[in-house]
Amino acid sequence: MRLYLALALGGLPLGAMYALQALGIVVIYKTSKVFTFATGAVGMLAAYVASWLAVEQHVPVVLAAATATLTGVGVGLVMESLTIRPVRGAVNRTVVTLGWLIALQGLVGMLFGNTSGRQAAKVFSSEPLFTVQALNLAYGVDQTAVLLLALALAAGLGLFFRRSALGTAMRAVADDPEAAGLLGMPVHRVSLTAWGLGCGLSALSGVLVTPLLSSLDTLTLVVFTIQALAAALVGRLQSLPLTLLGGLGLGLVQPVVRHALRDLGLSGTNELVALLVVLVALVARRRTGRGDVGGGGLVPAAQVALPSLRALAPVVATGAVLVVVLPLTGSTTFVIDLSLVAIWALAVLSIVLLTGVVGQVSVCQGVFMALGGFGAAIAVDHGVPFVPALLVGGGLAAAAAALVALPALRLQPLELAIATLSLAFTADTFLYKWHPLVSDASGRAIPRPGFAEIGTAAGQRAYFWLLAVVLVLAGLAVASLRRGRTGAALTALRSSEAATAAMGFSVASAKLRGFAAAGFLAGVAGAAYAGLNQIATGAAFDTTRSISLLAYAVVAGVGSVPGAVLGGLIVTLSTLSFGSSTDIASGFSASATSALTGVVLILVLRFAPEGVTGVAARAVRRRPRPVPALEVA
Amino acid sequence: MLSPRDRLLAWLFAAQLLAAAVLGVVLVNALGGGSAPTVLGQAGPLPSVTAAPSAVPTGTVGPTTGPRGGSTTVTTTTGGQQGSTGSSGGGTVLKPGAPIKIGVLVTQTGAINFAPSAQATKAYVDRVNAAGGVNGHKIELIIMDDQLDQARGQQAAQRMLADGVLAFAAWNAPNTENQIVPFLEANKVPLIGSYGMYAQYHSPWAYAFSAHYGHYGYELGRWLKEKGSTKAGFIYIDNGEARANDGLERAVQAGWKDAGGTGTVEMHREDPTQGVYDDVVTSLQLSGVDGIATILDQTAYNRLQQASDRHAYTPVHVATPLFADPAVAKTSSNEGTWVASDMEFLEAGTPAVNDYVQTVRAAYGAKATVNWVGEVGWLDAMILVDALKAMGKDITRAGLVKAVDGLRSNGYGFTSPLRFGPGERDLNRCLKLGRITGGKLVPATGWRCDGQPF
Repeated sequence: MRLYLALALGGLPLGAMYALQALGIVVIYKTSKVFTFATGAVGMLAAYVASWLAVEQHVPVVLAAATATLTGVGVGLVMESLTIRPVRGAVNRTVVTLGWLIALQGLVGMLFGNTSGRQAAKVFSSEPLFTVQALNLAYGVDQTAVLLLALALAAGLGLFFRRSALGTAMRAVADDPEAAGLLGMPVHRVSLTAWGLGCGLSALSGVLVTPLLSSLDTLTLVVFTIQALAAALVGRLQSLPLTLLGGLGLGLVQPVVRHALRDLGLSGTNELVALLVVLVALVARRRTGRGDVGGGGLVPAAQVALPSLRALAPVVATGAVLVVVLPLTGSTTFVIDLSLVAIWALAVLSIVLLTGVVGQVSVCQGVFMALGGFGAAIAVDHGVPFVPALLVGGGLAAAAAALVALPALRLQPLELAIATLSLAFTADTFLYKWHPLVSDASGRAIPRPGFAEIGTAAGQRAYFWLLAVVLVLAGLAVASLRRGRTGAALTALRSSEAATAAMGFSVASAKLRGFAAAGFLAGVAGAAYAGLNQIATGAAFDTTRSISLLAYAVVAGVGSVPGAVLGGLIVTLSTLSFGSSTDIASGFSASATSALTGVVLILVLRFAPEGVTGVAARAVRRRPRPVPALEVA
Repeated sequence: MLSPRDRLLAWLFAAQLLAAAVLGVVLVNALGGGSAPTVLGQAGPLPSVTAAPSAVPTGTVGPTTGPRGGSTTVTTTTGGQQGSTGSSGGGTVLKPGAPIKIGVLVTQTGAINFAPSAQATKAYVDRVNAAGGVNGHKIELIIMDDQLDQARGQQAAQRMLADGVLAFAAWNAPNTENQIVPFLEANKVPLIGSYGMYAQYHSPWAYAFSAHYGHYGYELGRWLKEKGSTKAGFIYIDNGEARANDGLERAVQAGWKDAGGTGTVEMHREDPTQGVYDDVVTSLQLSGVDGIATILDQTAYNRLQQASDRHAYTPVHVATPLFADPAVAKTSSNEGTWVASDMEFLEAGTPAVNDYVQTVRAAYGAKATVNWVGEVGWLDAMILVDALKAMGKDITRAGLVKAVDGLRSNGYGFTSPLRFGPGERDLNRCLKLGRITGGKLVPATGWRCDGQPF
C-alpha cells in the first residue's frame, strides 16, 4: 500500500506535464471548435529553439525560454490565419493540424537533426526541493515548478475567460460566431488570439517538460499528445479545471497500473490507460448530450465519377502492358519498388473506401495493416499456404476494424478521428510489443514459398504480379461498391446519417460494413508488405505512417479509385531516401520528406480539397462538350 | 459509342498510370538508385558473387535453429554479372580492380542511433582502400539505415543482396538483427560483425565480436556483490525477445549468487519509451535495494540519473559502456559508478584505440563521434579486412566464413583475445571494469572472463 501511494503521488508531476499540453488544446477548441493534434509538435519546436539559444548561443535560459514560447505564439498565429480559417469544415481543419504535426517534425529534423543527444535548456534544476521520508517521495525543483505552473495556468485562464473582456468575447465567439460577428465582435481577431494563446501554452509546456524527460528528440513530445488528448477530453474540451484534474489523475494512475502489471511483461501501459480514458470520455460526452465535436465528414470527399467499363478498356490494356513489361525492364531492386507501389496503393484504396465512400475518418489504417501482417504470419505458422494467409490477415484486420467501428457508431467523424489517433499511438507502444501477437521476438517471420528466392529477380517479379492482380481486384471491388443498393447506402451515409435512416438503410450496418471492408483491404496490404519483407512487424505502421497515409490519400484524392495508384506511388517515393549520402545518413532526407508531406497536405486542403485526381477530373468536366450538329430538315 | 467525356476520362486514367510508371522509373532509378543506399567507397562494376562448395563451420555453439555441422554446398548467385570471369569449383574470381561489395546496416536515425559505428567502419575501409585495397580489390561499402524498423531493415538486406554484396558486415541495427538469422541462413550470406542479438551467437553465418549480453549480465551480477551491495536490483531495456530477456535475467542472478549474494536480484525491465524513472527509483528505495546493475541506452541512463538525483539515491552502481558516453550528463549520482566493458576504454589511450579516435576525427572533424559503439564498428572492419586478405583469390561467401574462423587474434588492441575457430561463435567472453572518478572514466581492472554457457 505504501509503495502504491508513493508511486501515485510520485506521478503527479508527470500528470502536470500532461495537463500543460492539454490546456493548449482546450483553449483553442473552446474558441474555434477545432481539435488540434499539433500541440506536441509545437512544444517540440519550442524546446529545440530554447535549446539552440541557451545551449549553443549561450543566451540566458529565461530569455531563451521566453523566445521559444513566443515562437510558439507565432506558429499559432500563422496556423490560424493562413491554414485554418480559409479551410472549410471542422474535420478538414483538424486534418490540417495533422499536416502541421508532420511538417513541424520534419522541419525540426532538417534544422536541428533528428537524433537524440542534444541537451535541453534547463530553466529549473532537478535538485530535490522537498521529500516525504515516510514514502521515499521526492519532488525536484523542476517537477514542483511544472506542477505549480499547471495549477496557476488553469486558475488564471479560468479567470481570464470569465472576467476579462477578451475572454468573454472568446466565449461568445465559441458559442455562436455568426451572432458574435453581427454584434460587432472582432471574430477573426478573437480566433487568432486563441490560437496564439493555445500554441504559446504548448510551446511553454514543451520548454519546461523536455528537461524532465531527459530527451530532446522529434518524437517524445509528440507521443505525449495522446496523454494530453485524454486529459482534454476529461475536461470535455471546455473546462480548464477538469482538464487539469484529468492530467493529474492520469499521472496518479499510470505508475500504479504500470507497477501492478509489471510481471505480465506488458509495454505501453501508460498509453493503454490514456486510450481507455479517451474512449470512456468520448462515449460519456455523447451520453450527456455534449457531442458537439461534429462537423460532418471530410469535406473534400467529392467522388470522382468512374468511366464506364467500355471506356476503361484502354486503361486496362495500358495497365496490363505496364504491369507485365515494367518488372522485366528493371533490376530486382526496381521490382521491389514496384511491389511497394502496389502495396501502398492498396492501403490508400482502403482510405478511399472508408473516407471517400463511407465518409468516416480513420487515423489508424496503419494499425490494420500491421494486424494484417501479423495475422498472415500466424496463419503461415499454422500451415496455411501463403496466398490464403494474405486473406486471413485481411480477415483479422477486418474484425479489428469492425471492433473499432462499434464505438464509432456513436461518434461523430471528428470524435472518431480522435479515437483512432489514440488507438494508433497505443498500438506503437502496446500492441506492437504484445507478445501473443508479435511473438517473443517482436516480429514474425513469414516465408512466401513459390514467390521468392529473395535475391532473385524471378521471385520478386512473381510476387509483384501477384500484388498487381490483388490490387486490380480490390479496385474493381471498391468501384462496384459504389453501385447498387450498398453504394446508395454508403453515399447517403456520407451526406447524412438521418437521411440514410430515412431512406430505409441501417446506419449501423452501413458503417460496420464500410469499416470492415476498409480494414480488410488495409489488412491485405499489410500482409503483402510483410510478405515482401518476409517478416511481420509493427514499426513500419506507426502513428506517423497512419497520418501520412491519410495525408497522401487526401493529396491524391480520397474520392478517386484510380487516385489510389497515384497515392501508392507517392507513399513509395516518400519511403525512399533521396539526396547525398551525407543527407541520408544524417536523416535530413527523411525529415525533408516529412516536412514536404505536411506542407503539401496543408496546401491541398487549402486550395484543392478534392485532391490531384479530383482537380484533374474537374478540369475534364469543364471542357465544353462538342455541340451536336443540327440536322436541317 | 463512347462519349467524348468518357474517352477523355479513360485516357486521363491511362496517362496517369503511364506517368506513374515513368515517374517511378525516373525518380527511383535516376534520383535515388532504387534502394537509395549510401554507396561509399570506390565505385566500380558489380562483382559476381558465387559462393562455391565449401565447408560450412562445424562444431557446437549451443542451441541452434539453422543448418549446422558437416558441410553444405552453397550455390547462391545474386547480383549483376559485370566484372566477373565466371566461377569455378574453387569460387568466383573477380576481375582485377573490381570492388568487393559489403552491405552495412546501421540504425542512424531515430531516438537511438549507432551512427558512430558507420563512421568508424567507413573511416577504416577508406584507409584500406587508399592503401590499395585488399588483394588488388577495393572494398565498396553499401551503408543503409533501418530507422529502428525490422521490416525496413529486412528490405534493405534484400536490396543489398540484390546489389550483389559478398557479405554483410559491421551491422549495428538491433531491431533488424533480432530476426535476421533466418534470412542469413536461407540465403547463405555471412554477417561479419554485429551489435549481437541472441540468435547471432548461435548461427554459422553470423559473427558478433562484442560480448554476449549473458556475459555482461553474469559479470554485472558478480561485480555488484563484490563492490559491496547486499540487496541488488537490475534495470535493463527490453530486448524485444523473450528468450534474450530471460537469459539475461538468469545470468545476472547466477553472477550475483556465484559471488556470494543472497536472495534474488529485483528485476526491472523497462520499455525504451519509458519517459521517467522516478517510479523505478521509488520502488527500489522502498525495497531497500542498495546496489543496481544496469543495461540501458544513453537516454534511459539520463532519465535514471535524474530520478536518482531527485531522490538522493546513491546505490552501488555497475553499468555498461554507454553510461560513459558523452551523451550521458555528468551529475552527482554519476560519480563513483562502475562501468563494465568488453572493449578497451577510450580513456586507456592504447595505440589501437588512439588510432581509431584520431582516424575518425580526421575523417569527420566536428561531426565525428567516438564512443563504444564506434569501437565496435572499427573492430568489425578490422576483422573483415583481415578475413578478406586471408581469403586470397577464393572470394566466396563460404570462403569468407572459413577465413574468419581461421583468424588468430590477440584482440586487435580492443578486446581480450577472441576465440576464433570453426563453429565457434561465442568469441568474446571477457570484460573489464572502470570507474567514474572526478567526472572521468578511470580503468580499474584487467580482463575477467567467464565460461558461462548462454
